[in-house]
Amino acid sequence: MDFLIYELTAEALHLGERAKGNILKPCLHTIPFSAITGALSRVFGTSPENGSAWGGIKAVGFLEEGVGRNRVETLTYSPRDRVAGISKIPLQVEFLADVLATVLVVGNGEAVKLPNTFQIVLGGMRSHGFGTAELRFKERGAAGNPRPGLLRVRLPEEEAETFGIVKVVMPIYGYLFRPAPGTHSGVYVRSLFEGSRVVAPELLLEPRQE
Amino acid sequence: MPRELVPELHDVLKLTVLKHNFSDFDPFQSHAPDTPTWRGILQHHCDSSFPAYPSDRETFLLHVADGLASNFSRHPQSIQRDVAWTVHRLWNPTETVNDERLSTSSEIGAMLKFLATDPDFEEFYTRYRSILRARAEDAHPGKNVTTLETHARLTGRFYRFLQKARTLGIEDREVREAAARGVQAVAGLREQKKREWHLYLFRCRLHILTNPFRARDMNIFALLEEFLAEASAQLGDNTLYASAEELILYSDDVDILNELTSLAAPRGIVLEIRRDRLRVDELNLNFRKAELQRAYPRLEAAVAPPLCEICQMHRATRIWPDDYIASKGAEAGEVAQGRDYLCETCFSIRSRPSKLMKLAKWDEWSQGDLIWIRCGLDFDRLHESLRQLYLVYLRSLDPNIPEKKAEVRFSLLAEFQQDYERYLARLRDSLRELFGQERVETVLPDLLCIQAERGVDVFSVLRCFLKAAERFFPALLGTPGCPLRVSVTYCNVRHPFFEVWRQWEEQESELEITAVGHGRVRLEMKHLERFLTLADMPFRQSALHNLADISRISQELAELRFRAAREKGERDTFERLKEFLPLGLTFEGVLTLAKLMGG
Repeated sequence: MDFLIYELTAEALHLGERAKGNILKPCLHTIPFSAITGALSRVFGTSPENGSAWGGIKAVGFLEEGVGRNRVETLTYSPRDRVAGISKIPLQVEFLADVLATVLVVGNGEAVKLPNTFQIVLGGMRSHGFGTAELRFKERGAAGNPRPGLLRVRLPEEEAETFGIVKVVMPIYGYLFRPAPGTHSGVYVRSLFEGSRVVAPELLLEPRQE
Repeated sequence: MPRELVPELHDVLKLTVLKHNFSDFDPFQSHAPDTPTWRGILQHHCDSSFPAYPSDRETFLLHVADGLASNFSRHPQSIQRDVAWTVHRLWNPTETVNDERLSTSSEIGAMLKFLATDPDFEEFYTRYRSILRARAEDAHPGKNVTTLETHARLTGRFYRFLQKARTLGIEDREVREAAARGVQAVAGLREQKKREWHLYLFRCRLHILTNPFRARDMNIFALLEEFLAEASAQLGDNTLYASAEELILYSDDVDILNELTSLAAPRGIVLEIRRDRLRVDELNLNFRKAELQRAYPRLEAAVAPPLCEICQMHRATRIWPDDYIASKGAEAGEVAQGRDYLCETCFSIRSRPSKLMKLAKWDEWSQGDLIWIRCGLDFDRLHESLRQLYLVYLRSLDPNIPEKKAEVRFSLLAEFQQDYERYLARLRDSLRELFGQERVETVLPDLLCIQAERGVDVFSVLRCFLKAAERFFPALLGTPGCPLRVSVTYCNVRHPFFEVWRQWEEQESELEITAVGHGRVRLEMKHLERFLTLADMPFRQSALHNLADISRISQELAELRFRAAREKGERDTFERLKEFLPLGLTFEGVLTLAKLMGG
């Protein structure tokens, strides 16, 4: 198997945590399967394949290192109650600024039709100008021989095989949303989170410690 | 009917100036009690220099337990120096301990008379506590690194475990037959069993599923304490080390993990387990070939919405506070908080009456700031630090001693844990004394919250920490790779605790100071004292702001700016800054420090 490797850049992204945080809305430091696959599907309109809710394009992402990139910044804003005509308690929203990430798209039939450069909208706070991201094709890379290591992406357990994960040694579980085709509903599916010990292609793993 | 053998009392003769092998015991022979415990005292060695050796299953198991709990190992020391009757604490080498052994005939006679009353260990401990805590388990130079108390307690645990172990078979008949053939036959039987017997070692890191964001969610820590108390009550004899962060257990089979998981899972606690299986005579704490697993509560493959807003692991079936008010009625009191969808576990955690009354009050105090303090211990570093300190000590007695002789055994770890608990108690006391009882909330023994008045309170907390650490672990503070950890977070009372917690879970540095919204300082413990001295100096904040902003874009550019300071105020600030940089602080770290100083 192989991956289409894209570079993702964005001015500001708010990939929100689902957990409530009182006045703080924290932000994820990764790009989960559900967010990037959903965003790609919205643009390229891939249809469910063999009963799969995700459609034909499947992708994961992770943030890259870089001076001044992926800074965690905070926006303070006060949501307005239009009925009562008052502002509520100010909220602090964490977001990633000057985002640089890698997106790995499973190199299947539908994925190879993706253009070299395109824009998607990703994450929350879109009405505040967040979420516009550009993807640039870098290369098509073979997944390579799986090795043991720590996962650096978030993906549903049921998609582990699609991404070439051979074995889950010690999972760190969480849940990601899987939309039901043709509806605004869906279910949360058990997923492998970053830090899980797996045997998987190099690209999905944290770099080896020197 | 006499009490069963009390294993902890097997070495009580070491509380006296008499020889351990009974060679000068004759004048006290008439006081010798006639109890199973005394039989254990007489027969727990398998050495021809002692007058007796194990003669039945009980004394044989006591002999094996004694070996497992002792500090000396397969690498016996042979250092030719004077005996040292009191303990030498590797992490606190300058501490002086008085030799309080019973030396007069009347004192020794009184102890033997008391033993004849067949006391249990706690009764005996109440009377002879100070000697047990001062006397080294082994007085040979180089072996005197653990106390008799630690050794006695550990022997008790190993003995009771061996008595009950299902797969470590030893028949009373086997021991009696060997004993009939003499001491060498019993020693042979012991070696045979130690080769045949295997034990599992489990290292379990504790993680909580709940993301506490309201004061009532902090009840998860009460559950964590309950879990530790129940684990200790049920598996105390299998426990080698226990803290709010991790447990080290041993057993002859893996069923113990089911027992532990059944205590953890209903409380929303996940266990990350490393498992190793070793021969009894090769037991060690290296976990080199460990198998890994993570024991979760039952997790469904798919969950229909809504998902619990706290743990995000189960379906939300309860609504807070509606369901709470419905179940409690008037008893619910005032619950003026937003609506949350919660799973059964998180709902039950939030519904418990909170013991953290101060914190609940502070939650309503919207203008206030808090300081969260978490002390921790890096077990891998602890193991390595103890090994290094032991080697330094051994080489101070004999420079040619090989490295392999500095082996960290369970007893040394248990000894350290006792001091670690005393250090935490000292730190809690000093923080209460400094800030006042009303301003300090103890969430866990190693997790505290302080109602802060200003940012500089963080430095007062760090001074308390440094003082407590210097009192108990001076030898650990100055060395690289210090196993002690401390995190201090200064934030608004409304800042969600789970963010603080998550940051702690990811902490890699020894010391971390976070001013939420401003930045973070990471330090090695060895620099803390110097850091606190420098922290008292004034800074020009605008200069630091500029530098920190530039460093976010380019570290090199910031350094260039740093060296080319022109204005006088800026130059003075940067001169002082030069003192901080060797401590490993970044420009952003120094800005955080300045923010704390200013606020």
